Amino acid sequence: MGEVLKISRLSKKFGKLQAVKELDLTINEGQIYGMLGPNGSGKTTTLGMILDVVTPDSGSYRWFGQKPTAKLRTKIGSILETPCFYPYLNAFDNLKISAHIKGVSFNSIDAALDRVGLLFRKNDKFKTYSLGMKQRLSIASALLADPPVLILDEPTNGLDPQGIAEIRNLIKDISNQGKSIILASHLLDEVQKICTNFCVLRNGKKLFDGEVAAILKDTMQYEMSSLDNVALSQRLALNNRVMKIQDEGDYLLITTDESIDAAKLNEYCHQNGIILTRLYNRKNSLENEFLKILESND
Amino acid sequence: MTSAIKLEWLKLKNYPVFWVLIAMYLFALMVVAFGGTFFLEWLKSKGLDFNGVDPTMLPLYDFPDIWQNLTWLASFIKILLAYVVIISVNNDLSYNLLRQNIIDGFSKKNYLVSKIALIVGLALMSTSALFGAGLVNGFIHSEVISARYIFDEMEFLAAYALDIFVFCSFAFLLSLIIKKAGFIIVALTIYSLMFEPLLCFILENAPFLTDPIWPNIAQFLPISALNNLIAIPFPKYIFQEVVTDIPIKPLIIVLVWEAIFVGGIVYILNKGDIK
Repeated sequence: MGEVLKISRLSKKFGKLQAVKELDLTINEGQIYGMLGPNGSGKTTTLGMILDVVTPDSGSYRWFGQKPTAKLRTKIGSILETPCFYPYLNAFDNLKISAHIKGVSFNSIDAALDRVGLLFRKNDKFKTYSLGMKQRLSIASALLADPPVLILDEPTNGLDPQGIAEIRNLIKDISNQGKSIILASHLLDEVQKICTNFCVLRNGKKLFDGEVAAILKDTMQYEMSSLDNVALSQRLALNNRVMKIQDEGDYLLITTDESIDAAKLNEYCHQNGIILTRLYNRKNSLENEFLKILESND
Repeated sequence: MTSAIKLEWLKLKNYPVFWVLIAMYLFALMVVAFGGTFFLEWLKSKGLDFNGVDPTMLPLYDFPDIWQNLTWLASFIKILLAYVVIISVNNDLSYNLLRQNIIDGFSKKNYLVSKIALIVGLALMSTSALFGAGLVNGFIHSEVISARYIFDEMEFLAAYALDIFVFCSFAFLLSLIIKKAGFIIVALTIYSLMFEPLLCFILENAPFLTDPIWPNIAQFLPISALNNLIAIPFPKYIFQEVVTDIPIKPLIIVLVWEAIFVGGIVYILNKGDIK
């Protein structure tokens, strides 16, 4: 796997505020990389620096193993925070500007507009668009050059649930084509659903980086219920592999040791004449892990 | 280079405000260029005369004097072209388009080239419009019509183009420093039409500035250096005084100011974070 982006000891101060501090990051080809962090944790500043609109105080970064140039940026599709277009130009004329900079034929504009469902509004001025449409237009602009890397900063900001789902599917589509995506977000659920890798930033410092799949492994917690939860609870209490039983109302939340799994739990209940109506092995969530990471670094 | 020019064209081509401003400017330019005879008629109707000479007898449109007369007059409305530059740069900043252009892969150097191209374009457009208006007026009113006189003193048109170029560069620099278009427009107008001329007047005439150095400072200020490029043509009709060249000293001062303006623009583009 080729290296897409390597950031080395990047730092930036705004006055007294240390926005980013000695940040190291490596993003490889094909990864969907989630940058997590509370608002003001330095995500957008970092993206600004690797796109040459914020001047770093120190440190360096390389795109595709090369020293960054304007020409290399034409191979990166980016949206930073709010969509930026001329309000008095229509969608087509606005995308002409991006297409011209990226050295892409104007013929590909229609396809990009179609991809985000805006082709029917292509002759309408940008200022007449709703927030969701503006957001989709900036995604169309990022997709124009069919770039190997996409940088999306809060791409679902201001979208309705349907719009969020659409963008999510679009991102998955794009990643299935083998493209790399850098996704900055404070929506953990979004990152968990989309990303392969993630890092956690706070106050400009990287607290953690790793694979999403490694975090989302099974836990030793099960949600269980049967027709008679009291009997189930009594029976489970007799099993010495069950460490803890909590009544959660319509189900029991039990914690076990590592020597038992869902199949064995089911077998145990069945042998004791209890028919389970629910048996669910809880997964860890990124949210849990995120909060743990923040706590352990307090 | 051509890529930078084309980008600027894509930004302006479908921008109605740009075309309205250009149209208004050209209209104003034509009023200035063709209004001379009407103005002299008006002076006459007010009973004014120049040492006994009927104002309408002034050979305002005679080749080659016409070039100095017209460029000097037209220089007064160059501020309208500066507004075009201010609005164009301010749109890029206030809608975050400069940032987006750079993110998309445009270099800061190319951005500078694209705006300089706009300024050069405005200067060339204005100069050629004025040249055309001068030809028409000259053919109608001039006593002498021959190539030797028509194309004499073309340096006034060159000075006029330079005047616009440097003034618009100043407007470009201000637009990068101040983010509010309305504020820059007011500030630039007041500075160039009132503040600096007033300052020059004080430097040159105030009784309390006795040291001879003070009146000398005035000529180094940007607006007065630009105004000195094309000398006031009318004294020649009254005093028979002839200043028909572009003086070299204001030319050098103006070029130094241009270097300062471009240096400032490059500095801001390179050093600052682009918000």
